[in-house]
Amino acid sequence: MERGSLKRGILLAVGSAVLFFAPSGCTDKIRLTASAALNPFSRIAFGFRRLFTRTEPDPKLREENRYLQEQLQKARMRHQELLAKVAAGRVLSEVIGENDFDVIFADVVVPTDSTIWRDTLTLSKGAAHGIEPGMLVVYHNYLVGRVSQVSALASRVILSTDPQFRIGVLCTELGEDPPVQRQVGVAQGIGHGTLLVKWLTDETGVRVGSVAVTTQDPASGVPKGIIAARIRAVDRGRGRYLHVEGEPPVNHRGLEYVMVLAPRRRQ
Amino acid sequence: MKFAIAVVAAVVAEAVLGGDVSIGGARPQFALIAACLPALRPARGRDVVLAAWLIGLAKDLLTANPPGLNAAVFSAATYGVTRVKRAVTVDHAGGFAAICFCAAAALTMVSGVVTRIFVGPVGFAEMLTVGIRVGLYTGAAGAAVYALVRSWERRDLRRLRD
Repeated sequence: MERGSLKRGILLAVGSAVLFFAPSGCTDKIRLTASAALNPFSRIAFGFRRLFTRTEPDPKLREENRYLQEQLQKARMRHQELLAKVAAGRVLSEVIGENDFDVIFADVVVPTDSTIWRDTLTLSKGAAHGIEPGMLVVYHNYLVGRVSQVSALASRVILSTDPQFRIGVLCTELGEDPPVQRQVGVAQGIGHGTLLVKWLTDETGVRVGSVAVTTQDPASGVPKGIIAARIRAVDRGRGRYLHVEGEPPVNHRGLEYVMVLAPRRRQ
Repeated sequence: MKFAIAVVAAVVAEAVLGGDVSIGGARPQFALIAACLPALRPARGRDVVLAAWLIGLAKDLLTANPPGLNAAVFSAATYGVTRVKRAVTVDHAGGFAAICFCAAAALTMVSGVVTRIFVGPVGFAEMLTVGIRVGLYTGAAGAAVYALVRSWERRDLRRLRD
């Protein structure tokens, strides 16, 4: 009896080790496909959660809405001015290649990672719907993360707060002109709903309340201007670079669907 | 069948609702509770260690970390329970809370080490504090689940007697 249970224990340990060290290319697709089977259960759980979710308008959002309406007025005036420039810019864009994207809407099947140290979510669409690893995932104009693993019917997204996530960003104020001192930093997730924006100096003028927006990176399929983080702490310290801490502009746990940006392939 | 439903409910609840009930970043490990509870009084002919390994594997589906870790820790925890209960009486809420605390804290710390190795910056002090928080939360949840299950059992017994 003792020997039997020990033998079984060793077998399970060996099984776990084989899974752990197996190439992720083999295990990820199987895991994601199997996790898609949870879709109907998670729909029920989402419905259950909605029962306890309040939908009162947030006063902060109302204020933001008023601010955005003011910005809209400004933007309309500027729009006329820019229309003339667009005509010239169109010619240029044909030369340098403009980032065009197809938008794929996908439901969130599992909004969290089962390991507390990782921030990921699982989507209900995969390679069969045109999703590929590396594609950017957004919610309206807010950055959510990047697709990391794909199976035929599901895909896993590493969120912007995951320790594996990195992206080039510029810090600016909402509604202001682009900063004079253009300094590209790197936004890196550190878990627990927090991002660090690295390699920024004092000259950028970054302060609490600024936003970090993505810089254009056509090779990685990143368009410019997607809001990646809101800055919540800036520590000037003694070193050359600031310690800038941010939070995602959207609550990842509350997402029920997201948009995957699929770069349009040019012939 | 009841057990399979409870396991699916635990894994889905942890994955979908875990974030909503987190306290200071610590989430209760419902799947771990579902794996350890049957080990206290295993039904005849049921291999609780293998069942725990399979529950861990189900949890491994939902992480970006390499698979197999949850399966190994779950089965080790269940095996530990089957060994410990020969020497100490752990079939009470306090005993089960202690089991859940140890298993959840160990799982959190081990997965922290794996994340540090494979992904990036997770501090050792953070692993320790988060591990203890998750352990405490899971221990408290485990004690509550234990009390609930035992009250159901007592009610069923009373019904049978009547």
